[in-house]
Amino acid sequence: MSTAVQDRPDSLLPLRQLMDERAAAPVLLYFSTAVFWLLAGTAFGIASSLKFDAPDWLGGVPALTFGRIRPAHLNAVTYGWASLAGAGCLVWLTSRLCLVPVQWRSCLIASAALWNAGVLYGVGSILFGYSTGVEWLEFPLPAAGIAAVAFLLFAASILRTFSRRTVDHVYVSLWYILAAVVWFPILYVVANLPVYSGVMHGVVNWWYGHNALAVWFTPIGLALAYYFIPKIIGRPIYSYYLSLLGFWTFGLFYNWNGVHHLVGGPVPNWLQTISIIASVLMVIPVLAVAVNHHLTTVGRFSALRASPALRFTVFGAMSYTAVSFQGSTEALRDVQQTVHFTHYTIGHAHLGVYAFLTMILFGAMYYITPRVARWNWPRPGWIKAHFWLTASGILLYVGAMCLGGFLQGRALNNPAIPFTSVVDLTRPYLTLRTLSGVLIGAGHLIFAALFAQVLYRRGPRSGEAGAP
Amino acid sequence: MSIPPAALLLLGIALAGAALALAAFVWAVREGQLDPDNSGASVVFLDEDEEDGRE
Repeated sequence: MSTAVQDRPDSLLPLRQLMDERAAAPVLLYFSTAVFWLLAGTAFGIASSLKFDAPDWLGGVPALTFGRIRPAHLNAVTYGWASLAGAGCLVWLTSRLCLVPVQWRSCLIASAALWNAGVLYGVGSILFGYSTGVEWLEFPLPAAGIAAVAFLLFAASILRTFSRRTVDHVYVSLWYILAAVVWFPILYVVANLPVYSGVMHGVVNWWYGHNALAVWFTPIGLALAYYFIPKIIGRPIYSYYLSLLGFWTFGLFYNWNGVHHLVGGPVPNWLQTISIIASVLMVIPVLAVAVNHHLTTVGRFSALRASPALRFTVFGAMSYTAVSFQGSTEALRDVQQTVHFTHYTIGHAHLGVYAFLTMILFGAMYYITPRVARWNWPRPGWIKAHFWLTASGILLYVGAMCLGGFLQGRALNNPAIPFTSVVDLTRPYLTLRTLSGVLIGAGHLIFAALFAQVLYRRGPRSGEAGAP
Repeated sequence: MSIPPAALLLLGIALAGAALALAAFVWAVREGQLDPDNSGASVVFLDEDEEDGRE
């Protein structure tokens, strides 16, 4: 992480260079461990999917049965990959938007180490049969405790950097970052308290599960999109005021959504209705984001060809609009009657966490990594392959699961169709899902190889930090 | 009907969180952070990053 300019006094360095240099160690630590979890999580995902095609495969090894590797996939990609990559991006972006070098870097280094220890402990516990069995909260208490300390240390550093800012205006991305770092650690700690039982446990479970998206992953994705789209295109957000309206309505509506996961379940009706109404109200902040990103980009779509960072980011931002509108309709009781407990939900989840969040994280990492590592991306052709493999893979994934899930739901509601016929009906879609997983996995291997080359300063292209 | 202690705990945390968000909103309005003049949009260009992200 050390660079040639480090022995010069800080005051001589341009501010941008100083900020990137100070951010380098924590950001690259978050990024490189995130890439590890991306590969591990992808392997768990593809293996889980293959079990639908070959149910007996690996069935003799308890740690590799479906009931364990499926939650291992979810936890590795969300708390490992997306959270660590997101944290690295937020560290860098907060420094840029506050125009002050990252503060309390030792907190961040400790946070990254504990974060990884918590996820390793947690995913290992799941594989060896010590999962809590509560979806999204499978980590046993000690692992969750370690992760919680990591989140708090991360939040402390971000808030310290914010408090030392030299820019008076709090940019819209910074509002999203503040919401994420203030809310998520509280959410995680409260949801993990061992004090709930019965129906309340279910409600708290989905209040948490949905808010992990609402106050952690979505703000990360939107903060990055609101920075990189205007930044790379070179013109400001089309209606900045609208973007702020979008943030505050997002804050007001999104955290009520969780109970829509329990529509039709043994939960008070008024609670379900409130969450459905809030899910539909999400149309307002989503439109504010969609209109703004579209009108900022319109007429400059050629920039997508030149900048891989922008290409991934715009793909992610468009997916945000798609997944949000899908979610608003999916929460309705009439739609739930068909799609609840089907593969449709899995398609929706991947449109959110992959097509939206992960693609934006890739875009941000293509921009941030060469600046902090002071080494250019080698092999532009590989970057293109990464984009097209993951983009086509996730579109195939979401298309197959949503169509297959919809047909599955229709068939399940028809008492004349035997259950085994419904299972047979879904099989071609599940095979398509495995195929899409292979495409996505190939893209990830390429990305990991590219990332390693930058980290170890290998590859045909070298030079000053900058480009891609 | 008695309210379980865990529900009271959640209620307290939710109210404290809402109060925090409201305080942030009031602060933002008072500071002029939410003035409709769009000038804040240029903050992304303040970090003098002359690289434009091209290949």
